[in-house]
Amino acid sequence: MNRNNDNELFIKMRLKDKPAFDALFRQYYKPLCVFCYNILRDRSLAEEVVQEFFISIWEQPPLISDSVKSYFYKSIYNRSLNYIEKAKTRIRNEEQYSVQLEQDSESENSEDKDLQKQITNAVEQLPEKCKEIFMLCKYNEMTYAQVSELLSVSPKTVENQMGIALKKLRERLLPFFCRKD
Amino acid sequence: MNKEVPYEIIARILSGEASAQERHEIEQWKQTSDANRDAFDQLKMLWEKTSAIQFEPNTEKALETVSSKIGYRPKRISIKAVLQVAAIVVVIIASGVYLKYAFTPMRYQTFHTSVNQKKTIILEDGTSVSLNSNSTLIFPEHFNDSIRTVVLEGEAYFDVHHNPQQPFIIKAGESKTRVLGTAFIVRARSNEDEISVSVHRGKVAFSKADKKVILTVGEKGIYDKKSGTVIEKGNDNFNDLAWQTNMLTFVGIPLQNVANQLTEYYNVPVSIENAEMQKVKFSGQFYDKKIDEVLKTIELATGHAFLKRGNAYKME
Repeated sequence: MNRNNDNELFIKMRLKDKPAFDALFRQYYKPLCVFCYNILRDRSLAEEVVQEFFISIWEQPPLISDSVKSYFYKSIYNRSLNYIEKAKTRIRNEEQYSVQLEQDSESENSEDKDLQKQITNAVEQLPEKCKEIFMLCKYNEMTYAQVSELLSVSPKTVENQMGIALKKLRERLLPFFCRKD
Repeated sequence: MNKEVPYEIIARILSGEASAQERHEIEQWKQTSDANRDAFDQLKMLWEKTSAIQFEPNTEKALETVSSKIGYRPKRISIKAVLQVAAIVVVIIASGVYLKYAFTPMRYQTFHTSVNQKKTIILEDGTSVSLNSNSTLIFPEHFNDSIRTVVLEGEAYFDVHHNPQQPFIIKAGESKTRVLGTAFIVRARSNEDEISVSVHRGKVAFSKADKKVILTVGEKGIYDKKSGTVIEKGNDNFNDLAWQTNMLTFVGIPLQNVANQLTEYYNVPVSIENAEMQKVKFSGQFYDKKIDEVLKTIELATGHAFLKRGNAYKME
């Protein structure tokens, strides 16, 4: 039902129907920002990437064969990765010290007593792939099947990585659980 | 630390992927020791706490930013707007007619048909547009003086009102069809590789950027989205117009193609499974017939029967 509605909105949007564009924007802006934030870890950057994406689909509407939802997520995913690639090169070339700064602030965080922050921090330190999968399932409330499609990995991988994520998070946070009791 | 914590199954439970069987297993596992129960509770808490990290972007503000970047400026009162209003007032006072349209930006209307729906619209210039199912037509509320432009996604039959002073242009995907006064079909489905125009009456110029073909009665122009080429060919499928005329015509067409055309026209799966029968050629014409009647005629002509499975028809 929702899916058909999205497709209809998308068709209208392709035909320069501004209210249809607005409807898609209102529906997807926030979840896409959250999704993008989980990859880029920067709120304003995430908003920028998602806004640029919406401008691009308005100006050059693509033909899509996926569902609108999965097309949106895939696009944001790719755009985020492109961004990281570019940023990596830039940082390597010019701003060595900014990396240093970020690491400093992270270690400050780890002294924080708040469990919430500890969890965030622990999630932050999961291995890349593992973190990504955990975030998609957890924050973006995707099913294993959706995550496996989006990242082009097998459902079994998603399952393994989710198990690993929980195991690592628990191990890391065990001291805090004990202190709480 | 208990090495036997079934993390994967617990992850499935927390993310809502687990089966009843798995949930039951974990319940039992929790009962077997306090350590197990603690482990589960810790993971559950961990899972619930992570959801508290939130990010609340301001959607409306972002939409405003994006809208202005794509040329939809938020409403602000500018001197220009005030002058425009003044001009409209002057014109209305001066002439007493509805000239205000000249000063307002083009406003567009959208017509959309869902699956199994057809709709005919008469535009203000007298042009009639019949939309086939699952198609969208966008047209201005008022055409401007020099040109009539509409946008199509899907399939439509156009009977364009003749006016050499004001050409009629249909934009479909990347293609453009330019006409003076004629009747034809444009088919531009986003899920298909081709955009085509079949001419029923008159003459049509069909183009993509600088590639252009002139089509007359019975001809079909095809734009291939992948190769970017525009070609022109005689129209061997007489049934492009069938949804409009209710007339199905087959002249020496292989049964395989007949089946495909019937599938499309009736929106019911028709298939020929037998390789030899697929190649058998069939001729016939049907006007306003139900699918059963058409298939019966084919059965009589070929001596092979169709089997009905659900709503699908098969010749084996």
